[in-house]
Amino acid sequence: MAQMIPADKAFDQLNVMVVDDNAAMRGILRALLTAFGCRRIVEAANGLKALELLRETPIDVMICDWKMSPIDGLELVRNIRDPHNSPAPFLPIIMITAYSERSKINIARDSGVTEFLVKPVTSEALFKRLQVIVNRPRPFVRTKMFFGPDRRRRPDDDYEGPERRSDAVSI
Amino acid sequence: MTKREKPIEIITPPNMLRVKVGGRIAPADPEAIARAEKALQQMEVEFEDWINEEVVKLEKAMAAVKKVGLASPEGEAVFVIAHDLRGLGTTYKFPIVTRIATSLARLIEDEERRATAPVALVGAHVNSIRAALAQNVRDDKHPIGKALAEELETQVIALVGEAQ
Repeated sequence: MAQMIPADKAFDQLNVMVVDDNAAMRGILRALLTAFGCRRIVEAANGLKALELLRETPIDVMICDWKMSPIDGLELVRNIRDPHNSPAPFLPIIMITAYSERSKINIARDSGVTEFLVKPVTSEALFKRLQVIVNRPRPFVRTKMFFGPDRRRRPDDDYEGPERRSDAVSI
Repeated sequence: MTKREKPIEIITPPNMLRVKVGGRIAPADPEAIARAEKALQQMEVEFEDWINEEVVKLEKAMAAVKKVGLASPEGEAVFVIAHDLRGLGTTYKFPIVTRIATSLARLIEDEERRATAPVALVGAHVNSIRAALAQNVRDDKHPIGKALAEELETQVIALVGEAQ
């Protein structure tokens, strides 16, 4: 059994970027992350600024909104998941949005989002997403049409048996 | 996963985050959650001002929509603010605002819907959000707030269908 690290010590090590065009929402997320122990938090008010910062600053986790302009959260995620042009194609991304419809969640998932969180944000839900990203990161999948975290919800993340998907090649 | 997406390459990158933080994070950390709740509580004094600022912006955009119509940048602005209120209303301790703003955002979600949505119904949502703030009606335990939200939702569902 690996050592369990208290949240404040663990999160103190992480560089987190918050991308939201709403300053109040950025403030709320910053307050929650700081309370968890994060000290290195970078903010961006839109997707373009986020991409710019991502090329300059090492980021471990991104938390982004969906509805932004000039480029929205989905386009931001697709840019980051472009293995040919992205500075961080494997970056864990938590999308936080007011959209709660199943159809929207599927669109976000297909764009390459790692975790999805429906507003209103709660401290427990945000903590859980961050904890899962560190403890049990999803493998990545590359097909002709998709590159991003495995979109299947895995009921047992500790499963260590064989890959059952036909044609799957593990690296 | 569709057949068109095969073959599938599965990549398991080394877990550098776990290395960086020095191990697994405890699955539950009541102290961290308590600190976060306290931080949110300390921000509550600001929430009333923040939600009021959003509603003022919403009313301004709505006033412009009455002149130029919903198929306009002003119409999109009403949607964007409604979407923000949908996300933040409950955090700001006004879940009824989240509920009404959700109905409004669905009504005018994209250009196609804004082209046909009745301006009067959009205005009724905006007025209801303002009334909730003015009367301090925070959730749908209030009978008038509940009835109003239900009526607005019924009209929106009749026009755009149920959320999917």
